[in-house]
Parts: sequence; structure tokens; C-alpha cells
Amino acid sequence: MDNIQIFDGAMGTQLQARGLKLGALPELLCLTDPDLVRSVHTDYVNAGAEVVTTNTFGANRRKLMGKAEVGEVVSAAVRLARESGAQKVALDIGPTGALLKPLGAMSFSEAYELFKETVSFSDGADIILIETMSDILEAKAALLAAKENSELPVYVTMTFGEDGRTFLGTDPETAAVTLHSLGADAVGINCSLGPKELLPLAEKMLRAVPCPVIVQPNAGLPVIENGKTVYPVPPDEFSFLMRELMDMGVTIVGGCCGTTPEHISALRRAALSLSSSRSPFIPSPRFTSSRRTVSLAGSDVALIGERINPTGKKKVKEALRNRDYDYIINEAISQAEAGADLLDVNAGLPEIDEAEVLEELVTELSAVTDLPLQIDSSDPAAVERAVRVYPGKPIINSVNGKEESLAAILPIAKKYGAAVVGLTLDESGIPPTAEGRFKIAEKIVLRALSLGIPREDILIDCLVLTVSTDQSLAVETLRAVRLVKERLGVRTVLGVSNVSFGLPQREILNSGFLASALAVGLDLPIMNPLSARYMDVVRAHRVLSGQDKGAAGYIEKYSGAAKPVEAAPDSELSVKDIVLSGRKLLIEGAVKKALASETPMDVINGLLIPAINAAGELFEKGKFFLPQLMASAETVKLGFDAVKNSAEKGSVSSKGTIILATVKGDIHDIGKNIVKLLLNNYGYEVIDLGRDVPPETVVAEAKARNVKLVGLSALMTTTVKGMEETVKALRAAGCGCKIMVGGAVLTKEYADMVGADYYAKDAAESAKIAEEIFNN
Amino acid sequence: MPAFDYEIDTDETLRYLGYRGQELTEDVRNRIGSMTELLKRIAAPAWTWGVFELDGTRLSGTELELEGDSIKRHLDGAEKCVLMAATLGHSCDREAMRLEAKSLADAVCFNAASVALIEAVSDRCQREIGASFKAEGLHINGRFSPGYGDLPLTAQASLIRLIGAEERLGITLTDGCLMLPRKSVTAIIGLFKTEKVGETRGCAVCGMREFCEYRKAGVRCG
Repeated sequence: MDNIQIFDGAMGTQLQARGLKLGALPELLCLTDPDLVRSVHTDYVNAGAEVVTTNTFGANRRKLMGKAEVGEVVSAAVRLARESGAQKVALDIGPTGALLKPLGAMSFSEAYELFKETVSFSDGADIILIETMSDILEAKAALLAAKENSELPVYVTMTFGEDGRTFLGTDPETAAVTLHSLGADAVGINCSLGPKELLPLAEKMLRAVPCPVIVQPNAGLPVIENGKTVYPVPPDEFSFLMRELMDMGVTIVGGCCGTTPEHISALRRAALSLSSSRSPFIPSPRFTSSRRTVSLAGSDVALIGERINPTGKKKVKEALRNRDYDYIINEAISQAEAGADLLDVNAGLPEIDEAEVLEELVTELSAVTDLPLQIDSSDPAAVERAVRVYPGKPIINSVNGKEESLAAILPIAKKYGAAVVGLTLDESGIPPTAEGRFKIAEKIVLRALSLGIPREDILIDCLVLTVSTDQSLAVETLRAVRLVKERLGVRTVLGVSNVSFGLPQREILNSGFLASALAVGLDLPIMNPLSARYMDVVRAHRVLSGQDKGAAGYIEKYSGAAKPVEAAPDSELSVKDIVLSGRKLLIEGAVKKALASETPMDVINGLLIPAINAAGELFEKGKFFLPQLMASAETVKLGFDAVKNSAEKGSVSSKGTIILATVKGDIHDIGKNIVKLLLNNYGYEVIDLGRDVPPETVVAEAKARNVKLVGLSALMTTTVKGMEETVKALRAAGCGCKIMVGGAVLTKEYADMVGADYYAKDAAESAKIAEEIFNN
Repeated sequence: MPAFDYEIDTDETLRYLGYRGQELTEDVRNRIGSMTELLKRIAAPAWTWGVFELDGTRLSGTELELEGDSIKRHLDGAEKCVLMAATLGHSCDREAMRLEAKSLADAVCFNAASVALIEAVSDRCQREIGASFKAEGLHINGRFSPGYGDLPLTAQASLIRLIGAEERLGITLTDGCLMLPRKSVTAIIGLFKTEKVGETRGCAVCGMREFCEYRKAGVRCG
């Protein structure tokens, strides 16, 4: 049992058994009843616990609600734990109780600051235990706060439900890989379930990481009996089941809710007679999002989708400039549906604050896609900001052989546990030969290894150059891939489509090159997964290499009648009919037809706007209801896109700029988004400030852009106050804009009361208001 | 995990979409149908509850004092009270966010179906509570939530802590006491010796009654 470390059991359960009022803050007892807290620790020490955990689960500024200072509670708690005579004291850190953005309202840095404050009083503790986490990003904030503000070892546990995932959807492998990569000294599981249910989850962690695994189960699955929560597993059964966990290789054990000193005592007896042999850790490259691990076993191939990149893409550029990420989110969704395994994310535009935008974009994308991201930037500051707030283990794209790059990027990869792509170029450029590129690859790999970055996390890009300038180049790239794989034992990446630059029918060359590259061992092609031809090559390769077991994926995709891609049928329907029936597939054809004989602005003013007007009228008359109005509006939006795509730059002018925001305190923004879509339909440029927007932000934007109209939305009665404050702030700042307000609970009277100029009872009304203001 | 076995009432979904007897085209019907199916795959309905003795409007053995006249009326004559919380889980919020970027027409239907579902889940939790106290000869009344009448929203924090809704269901609060996941319900239910007549729920006690679009149109929200 030398290598087993025994923690204590539940604190809350014990305090309640000794009279703590339900719902009261248990941490305050460290100040008001220190003897009681100490006695719980002492009982656990007497039962055989080597490590006792401080009574500080909720000892952060937010949860203490001003009832005590964080410092006095934490310091007292550590002292009481020490006084119990325990061999070691673990400073306990639980969740903040608030959900992080973008699903919640708390920023990463706010969470970090809360944890940092608690950690800053860790003097006297031997370990920091971050526990009961549901959100991997919150766990990351706590872990970074612990690592950056103390020298203590940090253990991190998350809590999983019966479906094997946390409330936010993280699975055990993903949790373990991500937390280990960030430098946790032990990772594991606590609370929610009993030891029996946790067994298969712990096994997944043991296989995914080399570090110690910690398990602190509840005394069984809680059941409600007569309105009271009961934990059904008694000490003997608990220790019997814990023995199985320890046999499997779990080396740090203890109890959570419902466990008692008797449970710990039984656990200690079980640990005494142990012959543990750990389930083997299987090293392989693993990349994670908050909800998925992409793991490359053997010669597995994973696709990196390349489409989130402004180079040559007008709409991506526009989205990045306006910080309006819906278009990019759709690019993520469509690439995922097409079969991408990871997504490259590049926000490199000279005219924007890349670091800020990349951070925001990574946050938004992480909420809606479960594919791991590859952070693509040449700016080390942007890379660091993005990987810091990324809820997983990303890939950094890229470092290269230049001294400056190695010195800037590799430490970031090491600190945040990211995998990193090394480009085979250096101060003298890209070597023409395979041997030259191999040399640079070797230098990058050795440097990364010397910093402690594991070999599995180093990926090499041997660089693809176009064959239109020199046909010998493709062969050198392929030779370099082979050399790197054979001699350095690392995985490889290639941006496949560069090969055909400057030549016609690029897909033909690209897919041919892709097949050759996969044959020499390319592991991670960066490509466009929306190309059926590339996907055919990849699926074929996966059968031939054995990755697609039993060719199941291939058969599922290709058996049966091959479905030809449906071309948008040529339609005789008018634009208005298409819009009113919401037939999105038909609108592009109809608009293009109209553009043959009319100017872009005529198509917009003569066809699209009258069509959305007609839909709005039907809605007003009660003949349409919301889903129909929205379907029409989406169709018009596609019509607008078709006009813009075929029109020359500058020939489509905006009718005016409108700012929209969901006010501070309100996190529901579907109403605002409906209004935005409709205003876009009428040809307005909408600056969408998002939700939970502070008054000062609205004022600053309104002033900077000198807009004529600001629209404010609030869904809840309680947040209407935020609306009033925003209106006041706009007036006080002397903004000359008109203000319209709307939201489910608003009325005309209320709108007047908060001082708005207009009350928009629905989205159709807001468009009318805009017409009134901008036409005068 | 128990299999998903809720019926999501299309009429309810339509009601939340502001449906007033318009012609239901096939397109709309299909859209609502597919969003309802999506919701069934995504949602992770769960609930928890706990029972408390009452000392006036204070929950005995706790620090929670329920403020306001409307909760006093709701619990008038109650033997005990039950606190409950129900949720559809964070996955629904995530899906809603994805749909809002992809298609607002889909998003509004998904949202309305989610409202119908969280009501159904709350109803089932309430029935379970009712059944649990039948043997004791106690009857339940309706659900009364923080924010109704003059019961402040700030009661959420204690309510959630008392029944462990954060640990068991993953419900957290924003600084403004709004619940996340968004499709979550908390409520207070009284337990009575006699069957409770005269509902204290509904428009009469609702703090939103002056503003409510449903009420203006002559219908009710729940």
C-alpha cells in the first residue's frame, strides 16, 4: 500500500450530522465553530486518512457573499486541518457557482481571479484539491490559478453523471487528457456516483494519462426517501468496491457525499492488503475539445478542416471585422457534418485586433462544435490568449525553425499542454530538399522534447509548395514526410491544397496529391472537408489502412444508390412566392436570373424588400406566425447573399447602421437575433453587441459609429432595469440616436417609462421603425 | 439513464410560438416535428426535490425565510413545504445556440418545444411529489416560483442550495439570479391536510400580468 494515498470522506455530511443548518454556508463554521470543524478532521485522521481536506469548498468571494473574507476563512480552515494532526492537508477548491461564457455570463478571467484569491491563502497546505468540477473550462481556470500562484501539487477531479459525462458534457478521457496536459499532478473523479458506477469511468482515465488517478465516490447513488437524500452504500461494501478501483490502478482514494469516518476506516483496511497493477496507459496523440477526444492510434488519419480562415474569403473577413460569428459558426457546423475531425481556426486580418478576436472566436466555436480546434496564428500573443481560454487540449499552428519562433511558441505549448505543429522552414527559408526540411524538423523536435513536450504532441508540417512553379517540389515534400516519420517518430501535417496553386481544376491535383501523401504516412491533412472528392480519397485510405474497421464507415457512406447532389432546380416561381413559402433552395437561382437584367440595388429594392414586406404584413394580420416569418426572412437573407456575391464591390450600399444589444443582466437573446435578421433583410447593417451588454459598451459603440438608431432587448421583467439604465446612459452621454426597445415583457407604457423613443412590439414593427427613421 | 419517454405536446409548442389558428402548412408542421425529435435526442430531463417543515414562512432548520404576501397565501395552512427544481440540461442551451446561428426558424421552434418539455418535466416531478405524500394523507397545491407575485427572484439562491440543485442538476445562477441551463424551473409546493381548492398560481398573482403578451391575447402561459 506504499503507493496508495488515502484522503478523508465527506465534510458537509458530517457537519450536517452535527447540526449545521441546511443551506447555511459550511465554510463559515471555520470561524464560528472551529472546534466542530477540527473534530471532523480529527475523526478522519483517527480513521486512517493521511490527507484531510480543508472546509473550503465554497470559500470564494462569490459564494461567501460578503459574509466573511476569503482570507480569514481559508487561513482558519488550513490551520484547523493542520491541528488535526493529519500527515497532509489539502486545500479544497470547489466551483464558483457561476457558469462561464458563452453558455453562462462569467468570463474566464473573472473565474480565474476568484480562484486566485483562494489560492493566495494556501500557506500551510501541502496539496491543492480542485474538485467537483462540471465545466472543464472552469477546472482549467482553477488549475491555472493554482499553478501560477503556488508551488503546491494540484489534484483535479470532475464529477460525472450516469451517462458518463459531466453536466457540461465532458467525458472522463477528455477530462483526464486535458487536465493532465495542463500540468495537474493527479486527475480523477469525485461525487455524484458510487464506487461501482465510477469504475468504468476511472478505467478510461487510467488508459488516457500517465499521472496518478484519484477517485472519491459518494457512498452510492443518492436516493430521495421521504424528501430526504440518502446515500445507501455502507462502509464494508464501499471498501470492497474501492478495492476493485485500487486493483485497477487508482492510487489516490477517499470519499465524497455520504461517506463517514467508518467508510474511510474500512477503505484503509482494504488498502493494506493490496497488490495493485495499473491498467496500462496507452500513449498516443490526443487532442480534445470540451466534449471529445480525438486520439490517433497507429496509422490513424484525422482531418483538419481548413475553412475558418480569412485568406481569399470575403465572408470570413467580414465576419471577423464585425465580430459577428454566425457565418463562421456555420462553417464549423458544415465541416463537422462533412467529416472533419478537427478545425483549424485562423483570424489573421491586418486591420483587426487578432488576439482579441481569436480569443472570442475560439470561445464561441467551442460552445457549438465538439471538434478540437487548431489555433492558427503567427502572433504568439494571439496564440497564448486563445489557448488560455480554450476548454481543451488544442493544437497550435505553428512554430517553425527560426530561433525567434521556437523561443516564443514552444513555451506556450508546454505551459498549456497544447500539441504543436512545426513548420520546416527557418531563417534561410524553406529548404528545397527533403533532407534540408528533415534537419529543421529534427531541430524543432529536439527543442520541444527538451522543454518537456511529449513526442506525441509534436506534429511536423513538411510544407507543400505549388507544382506550377517547380514540379520537383511535391516529391521532395513526400520524401520529407517519410523521413520525418521514420526517423523522428512524430505525426505529420500538410496543407494539401497548396500543391495546385495557379493551376485549373485544383481538386483533381489536390486529391491525387492527398492520396500520395497518405500513402507515405501523412497523419493530419489540412483540407476542405466539403469537397466530396477529397473525402472519397480519405475514406478509401481508411479502408486500405485498416482504420475503418470492417469498412463499416465506407459501406455506410457508399452502399446503396449513390445520391447525386441535388442542384437547385430552376423555378418559375417569383421571388415573392419563393420568399413567402420559405424555399431557401430556390432563391439563389431566382436572384441570379433577376440580376441578368436588373442592377443589384433594383433586385434588393424591387424584389427582396417587397417580398419581406409582404411576409411582415401577413404576420401583422395574423396570417403568418413566427416560424413562417423566420423562414421567409432566412430566404431573403440568402437572396441578399446571392446579390452581394455576384455584385461588384461598392454596388450594394447599406441603408444605414443600427446597433442592437440585449441589455445587461439578460442572457436570452433570441428575440434580438430575430430583429437583427429582419433588419438585415431590409438592407440595414446591424452591429450586434450580443447579450448581457453593459450600458457603457452600448454608449461607446453608439458614439464611435455615430448611429441614428439603437435597439435594446430585454426578455425578463427583472432585466428591464438594465434597459432603463442603458437608455439613461445614452441620453447622459449626449448620443443623438433614437432608441427602440422590445422584448416579451415590454409594453408601450413600460417603453415610455424607461424613456425609449419607440416601442417595437415585434420584429416586424422594428423594421417599420427603422424605415421611419432612415427615410426621414 | 432512463430512456426518453416524454410526449412533447405539439399544441403547447404551437402556443409558445404565438400560434393563433393560422393555416399550418406542411413546411411548418415538418419543421416543428423535426425540432421536436431533435429536442428528444438532446434533452436530459432531470429533477430533484426536498421536503421541509414550516415555521410560518421560514423553512425550519434552514436559513430560508420566504418573503412576500403571495407566498404567504400560497402556503397558508400548509403542513410542510416542498422545494423542487427541474431542468432540461445544458445540452439544450448549447443546441439552441447552434441553431440560432444556423436557422432562426428552426431555433424558435426548438425553443418553443423546449418550453413545452420543461413544463411536462415539472408536471411529472410534481406528480411524483404528490404520490410520495399520499400515504401520509397530504395533498399538494400548485407550483409557485421565485419571481411570481412578490416572491423575490433572490430566493433562488437559497432554494437551489437547500435541495442541492447545483450538485445534482447542474443548475447555477447568474448575478441577476437567472437560472442556467435556461430551461430550468424551481418551485415551492405546499403540503396540506385537505385538498387545496382555489389555485394560487396563474395570472392573478403573476408579477408579469401587466406586461404579458399571452394575457393580452386572452391566453395563458402555463
